[in-house]
Amino acid sequence: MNNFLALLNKEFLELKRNNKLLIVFVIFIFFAILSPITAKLMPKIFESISTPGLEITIPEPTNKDAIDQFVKNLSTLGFILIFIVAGAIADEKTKKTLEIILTKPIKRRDFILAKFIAYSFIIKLAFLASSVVFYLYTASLFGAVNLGNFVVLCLLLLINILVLTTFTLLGSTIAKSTIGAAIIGFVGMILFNTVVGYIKPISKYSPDFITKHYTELITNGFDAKFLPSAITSIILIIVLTLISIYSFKRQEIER
Amino acid sequence: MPALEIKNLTKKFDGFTAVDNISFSLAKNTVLGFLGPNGAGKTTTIRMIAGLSKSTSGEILINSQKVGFGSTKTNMLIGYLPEQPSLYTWMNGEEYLYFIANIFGIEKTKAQKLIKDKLALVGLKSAAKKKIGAYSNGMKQRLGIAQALVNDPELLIMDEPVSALDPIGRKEVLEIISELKKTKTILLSTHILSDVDRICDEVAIINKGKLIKVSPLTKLKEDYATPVLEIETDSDPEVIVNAFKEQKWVKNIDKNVNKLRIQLVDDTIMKENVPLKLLSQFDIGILKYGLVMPETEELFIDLIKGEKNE
Repeated sequence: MNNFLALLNKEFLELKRNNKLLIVFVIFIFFAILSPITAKLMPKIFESISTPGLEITIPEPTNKDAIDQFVKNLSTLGFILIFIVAGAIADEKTKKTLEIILTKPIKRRDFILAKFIAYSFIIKLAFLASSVVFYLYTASLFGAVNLGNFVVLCLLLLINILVLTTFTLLGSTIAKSTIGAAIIGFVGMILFNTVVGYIKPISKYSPDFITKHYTELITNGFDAKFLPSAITSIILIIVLTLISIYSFKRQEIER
Repeated sequence: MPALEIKNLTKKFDGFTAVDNISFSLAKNTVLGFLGPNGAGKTTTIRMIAGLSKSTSGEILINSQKVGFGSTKTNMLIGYLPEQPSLYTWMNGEEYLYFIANIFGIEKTKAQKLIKDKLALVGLKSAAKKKIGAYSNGMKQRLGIAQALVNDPELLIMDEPVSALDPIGRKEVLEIISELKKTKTILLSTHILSDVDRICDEVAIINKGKLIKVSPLTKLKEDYATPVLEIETDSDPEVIVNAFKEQKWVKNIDKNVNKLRIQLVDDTIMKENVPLKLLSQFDIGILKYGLVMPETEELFIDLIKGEKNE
């Protein structure tokens, strides 16, 4: 237990020192503020680009439009997250810092778990902060969204983000470089979200099912139809982590 | 009970045999120089001992405990210093050692004293709070030694500890190793043979994955060494070199400015003063004349050459 805590402490300290913690918070908060602003300004943007003779009628924006922006921005955020997470283990391979650590009495399982817990913890925390900022700012601009439904939406979105994080961590475990890890992360994002999402019979199991059906959740509240995606996502997080541990245990770290 | 026992160890990579059925053991409180040219299999062997690499066959025992790939049990017993230690550049020296002490579960007050001692031993006390990223290569190497000593290991494994350093860094690190030699069992791989003469009690010579020789250094010199005649002159000894080259009792001549190291076929000619008589024919002042112990380098080249000819 002692050495697991030592590894976990090191991870948090590293995330702080290399500014990843700050970057994750800044990006999440940035999108939380940007989303309602974009929704609010959308009619004005359209107005400014409209040409004479072409009349576009845009309805007055509501808090639903702000949520629309918030959910859409998450995919951009996902791309950025892949780059932040991709170096987690691959960087230690390319910089060769792993070499000394692995000759110490640590369990390889603990090494991967410490990475997973540290990265997912800061992402959860940043997402929580981002959700609170978004909720309050949206409420001040458009009026409050149903809090219960919004909390459920955030939980489901967070699970989706964690699938992506875990897949990128697996990439970082398998790949020899950060770029390789990022590519695996992108492939995971496309495979689980886009490909599975488009195959009708299995689309309900896609981890990003929520990003296509969030309006129903906000309007009508939680429904059993969101369960398959959430359960699949949680299983994926566990399975991908186990594969990472299995793969790392068998790796001979090259010089 | 030996500190380290290696039995029939083999490592193959895709059909290439990097380490070929080697066996040797290392008694407690001795320093073994693991010698070989680049690519001989030294690092591969060391990485298997440290549990970083999986052996194809064979067995490694540290203090009678079997080493397994990714093992944590024998990792308690070793201290490992890779060729160019990569440390977390965003930590300072002291933090790095604390991190390692935490991994070993060393209690805080004990760790504090221990880290202070290790930093003093490697001469990094004043750089303890400096970021590792700002350390010189020599300082990183010294911190690398300190981290390998945190658990007071039974066996200290050092892979080419000085080969990447400048002369000053080399001297500093060699002094630390000489100090450690008094209390520790050390396996030190190197291709810098003058270091072996200075530090090692025993040598194991590896070439193309095969172990050529394991022996105490002094015995190796007695058994294999051809005698070396050392001559120092007051001016350029080129004429002497030319005259000696023609003698059939000369095996090899090494000239370094005014110093000559002449490997003799046997030392009976010394008793008859044959080289001295030859020298007296030239009008060159002789500052030094005498038999010396051969250096490991000469021995090593002979052994490797012998292996090639076989």
